[in-house]
This record gives sequence, structure tokens and C-alpha cells, in this order.
Amino acid sequence: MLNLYMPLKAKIIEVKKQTHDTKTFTIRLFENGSKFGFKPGQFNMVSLPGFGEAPISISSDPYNNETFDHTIRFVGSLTNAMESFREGDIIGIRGAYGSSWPVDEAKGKNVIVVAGGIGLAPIRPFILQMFHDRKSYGKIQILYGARGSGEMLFTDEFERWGRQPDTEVHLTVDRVAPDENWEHNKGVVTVLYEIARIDPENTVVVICGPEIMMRFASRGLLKKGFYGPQIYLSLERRMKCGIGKCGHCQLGGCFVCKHGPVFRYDQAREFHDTLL
Amino acid sequence: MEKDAVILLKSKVRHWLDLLLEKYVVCAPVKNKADYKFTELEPGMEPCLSYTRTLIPPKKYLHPQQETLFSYKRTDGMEAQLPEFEKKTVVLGVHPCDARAIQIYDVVFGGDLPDIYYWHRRKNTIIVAISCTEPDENCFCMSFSDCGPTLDKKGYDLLLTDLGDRYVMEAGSLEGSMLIQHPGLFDRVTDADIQAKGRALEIAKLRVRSKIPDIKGLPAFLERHYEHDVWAKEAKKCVSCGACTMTCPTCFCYHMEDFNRFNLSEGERVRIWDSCQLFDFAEVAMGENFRRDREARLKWRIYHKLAYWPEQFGTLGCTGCGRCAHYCMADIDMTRSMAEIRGESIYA
Ligand SMILES: Cc1cc2nc3c(=O)[nH]c(=O)nc-3n(C[C@H](O)[C@H](O)[C@H](O)COP(=O)(O)OP(=O)(O)OC[C@H]3O[C@@H](n4cnc5c(N)ncnc54)[C@H](O)[C@@H]3O)c2cc1C
Ligand code: SF4
Ligand code: SF4
Ligand code: FES
Repeated sequence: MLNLYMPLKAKIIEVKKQTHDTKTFTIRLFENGSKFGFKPGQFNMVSLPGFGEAPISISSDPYNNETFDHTIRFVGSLTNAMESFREGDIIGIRGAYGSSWPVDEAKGKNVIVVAGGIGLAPIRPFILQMFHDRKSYGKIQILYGARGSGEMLFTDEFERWGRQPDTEVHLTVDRVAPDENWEHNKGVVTVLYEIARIDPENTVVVICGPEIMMRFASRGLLKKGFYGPQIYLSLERRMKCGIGKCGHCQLGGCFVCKHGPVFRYDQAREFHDTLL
Repeated sequence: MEKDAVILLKSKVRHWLDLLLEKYVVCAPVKNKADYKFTELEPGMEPCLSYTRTLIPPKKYLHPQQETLFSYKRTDGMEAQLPEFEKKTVVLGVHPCDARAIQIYDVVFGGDLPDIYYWHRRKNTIIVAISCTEPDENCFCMSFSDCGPTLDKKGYDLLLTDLGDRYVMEAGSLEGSMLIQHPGLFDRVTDADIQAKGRALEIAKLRVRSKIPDIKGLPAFLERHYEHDVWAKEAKKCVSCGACTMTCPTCFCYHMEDFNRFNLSEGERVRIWDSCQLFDFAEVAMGENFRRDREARLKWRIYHKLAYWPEQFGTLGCTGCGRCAHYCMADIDMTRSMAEIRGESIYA
């Protein structure tokens, strides 16, 4: 019987600053022949001896199975400890766990990505996957909102994303500093629904961000004529084990770590104890 | 009765225990102040096999309150060390409700992602159950079709039933039959013994008076009454101490923590029982808490046990052992809450 609690050793091979409190770590396993495969939307348990473990989404290109990325915001004991980690440092990894974005269901359809703040990290693998397989998908619209421009992740990639065939990137921030030169939109992410001119016809939407933002984002779509089964979102719950054993992430008859984190909106709406 | 059943006179129990102690670690309920407690028997220690319930169920031998998963050194990674057992453990005197809870645990810790620590202990454990002849007002095992004061073929290695001056002992596995192989110690089971067993169980069944009706319809019933006033009323009394989950034989939740040694470069990753009744159980980063209100937490426990468990594991998450009500200092009793919703008395 496999010991599912035992992390695999992994080495940080690159660290990249995203914002004042968020960095992307590129990681390579040095066990398992160093190969690591995952599906867009899945997460790992990142293990730091002495600090425990935290569930962290994989934020890199799923076509790359040599290395993978975690984009981590420093909010508490483990994540703050990660802030000082550099190239060559060793961490532990268990995964990949959980359900994935509707990579196949979305084929032949238009895709709208709605992300808020750190929520772009779990969706980035899906975006990159679609770019690899661009012909399989229709129009791609990426709507990304953050509190301020300084909180936005992957800003150096937006231009490249926007240059992909039939792809649009729309940005908005809640606040613009008085001296700031911000040429995009202002307001919560749903203001982009008007600018992007979204259409429910033959379209799939994926949403990731704070739960309250996902509430407004999905309800806004329903008002525009979308149906629940067209919308997918990723729920964040407290997780200790990642394998359906510790009980923390339970919602109704589901373990968010196993049956989620990605759920279809109409199914997620059935749960009690959500903000949706 | 097959040949794998014997009679042990109570006057010979001490001798039987001494024989068991030569080969096994034996854990059994002993009197502990006003309560009973599963305890490892030292030579000469007397178990108390006629008891209502123990505060902590025998689940603690399979999923200890605190368990080390592995130790680590910051410099060279982590190493798992499963405990080494010299002897098998006999857990003696397990009531049917608690034995059923172990069957439920087998599903929770099994499945497609089995828990190696649980199974390591489970395979080293022999379950000697005892039919329950002492149910009290908190017991409601008779609500469930597969529960009640005894076990039917499954869920034990050996099953005892108290017949006054003797026990009838029936093996449920090869391991169990090994415990009743001492020539000269046991007597043959007679027809009178079988009849006595039947009578004892009938009386016990009649003593289980509390009941949740219509178990099959329970998930739908609870869903219909999710907003019922009774939950807010009960939540006002609740102090979120977590006693109901700690004492519950099917509750499995735990959290994981790293305990550093003083040198800070070595330590152990441990898991410790946790409770969904505690405030921070469902809290996530940036302070969001999906069960911030006590009412949401109280409902979650009851709904998890009775409404969601079948979907997760194919059984109910309750065996009617009565601990959650019995040990609740605020007198919260889910059988009573449900009777209140139905506008009935719980005494059917
Ligand atoms: C499926 C999933 C994917 C995630 N992906 C990312 C990601 O890509 N990038 C990222 O920065 N963060 C992500 N998170 C959030 C991240 O797990 C938490 O920020 C992290 O666990 C906090 O750990 P800490 O030790 O730094 O904080 P702590 O000091 O433990 O606590 C800080 C706060 O985080 C909460 N928290 C503690 N443990 C957990 C836990 N196991 N799960 C959720 N919340 C917890 C606490 O209640 C507290 O409010 C994800 C969470 C989930 C469930
Ligand atoms: S929920 Fe209560 S009655 Fe049911 S098994 Fe748990 S402690 Fe016993
Ligand atoms: S009732 Fe609470 S502590 Fe018990 S198994 Fe369910 S979530 Fe875990
Ligand atoms: S994280 Fe432990 S059960 Fe889901």
C-alpha cells in the first residue's frame, strides 16, 4: 500500500516575482524520474517541513511535464516561509489532486475566462492548453480583474495572449491610484461583461477568484442568458490531506479535494455553506 | 450452532484473559470514575464487560487521537516509520454500535485512496464484540435496519453474549476462532443456551426506546427541513466544544501539524483529531469562513451523518450509539430535534 501522505522531494529551479506578495516558483521533482503530469485546474499539497502543508494550484503549462509552477501568495505561516525560498531549495510535493477545468467539454465552443486576483493562477494552465490546441476551441475571451494594477499576475504575458488567433484579453481594476497611467477598465470584473459583449450561444465559462466574486460573476452571466451547466468554477476550501480523508473540505456529499475543486455552477449551487 | 461457538463460564473468564495476555495486547473497557474507558489490560486487571458506553469509542485504536505520520530533517527530507507491533491487539468488549462504526471506518479509510496508517493498525487488530444488553435512553441503534444490540455474522472476529453466569462465544473469522481453542476451558453450547441468547437479545431490543423513524427517507426529510427553526434553537444552546464529534465512533476528521524539536531542524508531522464544530474548521485564507455560524456547524454535523454520508460512503454515518447526546453538556440530541420537526415524541 502506498503512503499517500509522503511528499516527493522537489527542487525549486526558478523564482519569479509577480506582485509585492506573490511569487511563482518553478519546480522539478527529483523522484519519480522527475516527470510530473497534471490536468489544468488540479492542485498539489506543497510541503515545507516545520510548516506543514498547503493546497496550491498548479499554474503552469500542462504540456510541460519536466517542471511545473506554483504561484503563491504570502498570507500565513507556510506561505510566508515560502517567500524566502530560492533556487536550489528543497520542498515536498504531493499531487496532482482534484478535478480539472472542462478541457474536453469546451472543445468546439467559445470560451470565456473570468478571473479575479490570485484566481488567474489556477486558470492559466487551461489558457495555455487552449493555445497549444488553438483550433479545437472557438473564440477565447479572458476577463481579468484585480484590486489594483499592482495586484495583477502574469502581466508580462497578456500581450502574447492577446496576439493569439481570435483571442481577447480584457482587464479591469477596482482602484486606480491618482498618479497612475491605467489605460484599461475600472470597476469589478463584471463591468467587463459589457465591454467584451459576451454571448451565451455555444459558450463555456470558467471562473476563479474569491467566492464572493464568483457569486457576482456567475449571477451576472445568468442575467445575460447563460445556463448553470455552461459555467464552471473552482472552490477553495480548507484542505489538510488532499485525498478525501481529513474531512475539512467537505461540502454536501462531496470532498472538494477529490470531486472538486472545479465544479459545474449548477452543481455547486446545490451545496449549503457557500456564498454562491 | 456451529462448532465455532463455545460457552465460557464467567468463573473461567480470568483464566481465558490470562491466556490471551500471553499472546496479545488486550484492550477492554474498565470502570473510570462515573464512566468506562477502553484501556490496555495489565496482568490481573479486571475488564468490565457489562457497561453502557465508553466516553471514547474503540476507534482510538485504529485512528489514534494523535498519530505521527513521519519524521523529517530539514536537510535531508522525510522518512515514514510505521509503528512496529510485536503482538496483535485484541479489542475486547466492543459493543455492536462501535463494531459497526469500525465497518464504516473501513470504508472511510479505504476506497480508491486507502490510508496506510489506518490499515496498518486495522490489520493488527482483532475485534471481540459483545452483544449489548445494557442500552439506555440515549441509544437508538434500532432505528437502523443493520444495527441493534447484536451483530449478524459480520463485523467481528469473536462475538460474546452475556447469558448470566456464562458467555456464549461465536467466531466470525479464523482469527476469532483461534481465541477459543483452549481444550478444557470451554463448554459445549446447548439448545438452552441458544434460547437464552434469543431471550436476552429480545429484552435488550425492547430497552432501546429512542428511535429515528424512516431512515431511508431521512436525507430527503432533512433537506426539506434545512431551514427549520429547531436548528437555530439548538444552536443557541451549543457551545461548540466538539464533544459530540470526539466521542462519535464514526467521526474521522483530523488536522495535520508539524511539531518541531527544539533545534528547529528536525520534527514530526502528526495528525490530530479535529472537529467540524470548532470555529476555524472551515476557515480558509484571507479569513473567509464557510461555517462561521454555530448553526451552520451544528447542522453540518447532523446532515453529514444522516444526509450526506450515504452519497459519500454508501452507508449512514451514525450507528445510534447515543454518545453525541449523552455527552452533550447543552443537552442537544438529534433524535429529539428530528422528532420536534415531525411534531412527534421520539418514543415510538
Ligand atoms: C484547491 C486550492 C488551491 C489553492 N491554490 C492556491 C494558489 O495557487 N496560490 C495561493 O497562493 N494560494 C492558493 N490556495 C490557498 C492556500 O492554500 C492558503 O493560502 C494556504 O493554505 C495558507 O497557508 P498558510 O500556512 O500560509 O496560512 P495559515 O497561517 O495556516 O493561515 C492563513 C489563513 O489561511 C487559512 N488556511 C490555513 N490552512 C488552509 C488550508 N489548508 N486550505 C485553505 N486555507 C487554509 C487559515 O484559515 C487562515 O485564514 C489554494 C487553496 C485551495 C483549497
Ligand atoms: S452521531 Fe451520535 S449517536 Fe450517531 S454514531 Fe455518532 S455519537 Fe453515536
Ligand atoms: S460530523 Fe464533523 S467531525 Fe464528524 S465526520 Fe462529519 S465533518 Fe468530520
Ligand atoms: S482535504 Fe482532506 S478531505 Fe479533502
